[in-house]
Amino acid sequence: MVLAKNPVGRSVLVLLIAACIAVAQTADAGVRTQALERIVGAQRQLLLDWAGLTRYGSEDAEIRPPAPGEDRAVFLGDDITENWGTGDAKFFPGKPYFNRGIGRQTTAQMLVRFRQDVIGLKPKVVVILAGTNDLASLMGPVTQGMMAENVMSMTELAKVNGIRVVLASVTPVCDCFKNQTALRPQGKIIGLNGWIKDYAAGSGSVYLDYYSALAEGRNLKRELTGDGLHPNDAGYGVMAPLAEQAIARALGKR
Amino acid sequence: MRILPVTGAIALGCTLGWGADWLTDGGNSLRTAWQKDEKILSTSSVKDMKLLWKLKLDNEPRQMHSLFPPLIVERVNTASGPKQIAIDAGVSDNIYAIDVETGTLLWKKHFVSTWTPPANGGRGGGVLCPGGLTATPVVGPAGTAGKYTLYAASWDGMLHQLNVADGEDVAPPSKFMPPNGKPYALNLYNNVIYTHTAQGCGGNPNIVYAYDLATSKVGTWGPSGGGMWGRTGPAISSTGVMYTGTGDGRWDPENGIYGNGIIGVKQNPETKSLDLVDYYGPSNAEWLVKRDLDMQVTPVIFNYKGKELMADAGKECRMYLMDTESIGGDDHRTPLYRSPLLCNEDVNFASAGIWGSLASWEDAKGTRWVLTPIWGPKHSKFKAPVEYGVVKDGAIVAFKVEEKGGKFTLTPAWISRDMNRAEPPVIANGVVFAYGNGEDTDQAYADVGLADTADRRIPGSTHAVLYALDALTGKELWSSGDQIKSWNHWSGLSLANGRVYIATFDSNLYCFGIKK
Repeated sequence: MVLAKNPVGRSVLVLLIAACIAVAQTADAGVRTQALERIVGAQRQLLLDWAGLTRYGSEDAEIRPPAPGEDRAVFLGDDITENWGTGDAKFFPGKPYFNRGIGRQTTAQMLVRFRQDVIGLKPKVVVILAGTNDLASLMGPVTQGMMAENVMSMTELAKVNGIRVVLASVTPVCDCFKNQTALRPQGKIIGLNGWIKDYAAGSGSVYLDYYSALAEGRNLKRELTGDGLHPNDAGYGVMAPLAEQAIARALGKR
Repeated sequence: MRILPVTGAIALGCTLGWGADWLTDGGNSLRTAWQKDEKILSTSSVKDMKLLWKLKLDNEPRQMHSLFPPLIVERVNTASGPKQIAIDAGVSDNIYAIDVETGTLLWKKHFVSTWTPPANGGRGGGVLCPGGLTATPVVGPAGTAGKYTLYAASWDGMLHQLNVADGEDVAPPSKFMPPNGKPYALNLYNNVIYTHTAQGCGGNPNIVYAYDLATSKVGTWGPSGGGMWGRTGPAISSTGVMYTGTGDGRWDPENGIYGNGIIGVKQNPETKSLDLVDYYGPSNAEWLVKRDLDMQVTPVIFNYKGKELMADAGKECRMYLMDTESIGGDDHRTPLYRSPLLCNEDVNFASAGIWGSLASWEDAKGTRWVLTPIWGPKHSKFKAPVEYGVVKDGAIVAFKVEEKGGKFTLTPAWISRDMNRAEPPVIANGVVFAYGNGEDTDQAYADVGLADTADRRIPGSTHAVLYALDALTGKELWSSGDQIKSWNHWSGLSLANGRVYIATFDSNLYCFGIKK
């Protein structure tokens, strides 16, 4: 009050306010710049390595050929595969299974790295869990037809290399925590899974039905997820025995 | 009563007499880049470092090469008295001798070749094969105090032996290797000169060469794939084994192919031929060759707790620690220690990773240090207890060598400030000297794709900046700022007697030190 009545004080006050605004604007600009730098950095990385070949490339080179009698399997997928084993639920301890999931990937990206991350490891079985990010068009617009061609190409590549194929259903989503169904409409998931099941049957692949075990109605069961999209440890606990059974079927052991 | 003055006189005499030399690239045949005899530059005095002189030489750059790191001979008997001389080699087959006290040219030798170079200069006239003299020479004592011989390999593949005092031939030029190859810094050990070649320049295979000075016989050995292009040439152990990394090539030792690994060869004392005595292949060698991540760094060899160890690295940006008794263990694929990635998260084959050579020193407490330059951003998961801000373009990373329960490791100690393409450091009296070379290292561009040409890279290059860092903490003590006006490619630092030398693309030799 005293400052405001005094002309000098008023000037000081005005200057202080202006300085605060400038600092706030500068800070705001700084935050915006950092956010933009992050986006540019991510886009640059995507441009340099769109298929994610650098994620597992070095590790792949260090893996020795399978021992005689080893039932090696590779799990190829996106974030749902990549996250498997990062919590308390471990990724098939003691099993010769390799996790080759990369977050946010679509079937087109998986197709590009199929030779390096799957064929190169000489597995007997590949478990492909893909499609949820195609549905969400994370890498640009994708139709079911485009996605289907990528899955078919991966299946054919596997077959000519003597690798048996397990095609997993796309997992369900729910709006339990935030809106997930806008990007991944539940009806589209069901339709896509129908195609995967049919194609698996027609191509001599094994269909792995995660969807039915994880869903209640059309929704991912709330207790099996932390965000309505990705399974939690309990969710992976439901998926693991199903994957084991599918691999056994592919190997002709069941 | 007379003891004190006598002791004092001896101490003074020793101080004055203990001059330092830098007779070979990397300082010694182990390539430690550690100037043990430095007395003038220190953590307290280095802040006063100034540009003492700058000398423009008439060497014509070829592609991106110009001058190599100078060699320093502290006391050479010349016709006009003893002098401290810097010998600097230029890519256009030139050797310059400079009086370091005055920064003036004493003599110049241009090798007149009997070989006619092709019109395009080298393999294809590209950056990788500039033609000309490409190996930093080496100096050896000539048997008499104050007399030294300079050994240099010219473009035509001849080995020249010159008197450091006046540049005159002390022996006729002798055949060393085929013309137009690309040898790297010469290393002199037990009267044998070692080097290796890379990039298949001149259509020549990538080979290790050893010239036996006593017999003039040349021994060779080749890894059958993978050029050897460690910046400071090979490193040589105490038992005379010559080690070097091999560049891109298949790792298939069963069939005699040793690409993307490290090899050790030794001269047969009877026949003077070279024999492979040890080798190591990284467990992910297949990935390294697929992504052009050469093992292209000169190793460094040092003693630690009674063992002779060796560290090496490559473009992938990983450090390896090895025992020279068996560098890869029984399976030739298991070093003592293999570090996580320090940089090159993007798997960039041109502008990231570890390039050049390493360095090693021991502090007063007996701690053994290994230092490496890195290019590009630091890996997001690599940390050191002491860091100096964001590393965007490169840095120096310092490790302590440690052994616990028989397991050896390189423990990160500090990461320096950002440097634009950090180059191999030199250590002297507790100070690390390093520089960002300012070179445009890109080889591929969004608009044209792969275009590794000097025409593109030279305009994109800026200028080098020399830094002095506290060797224990990595703290910046001094910087040349913008005093160095040009950049350099494939050069390096030399240091002796209070002076640090750096040459630039525009054929200037800079000498920094403390003014008397």
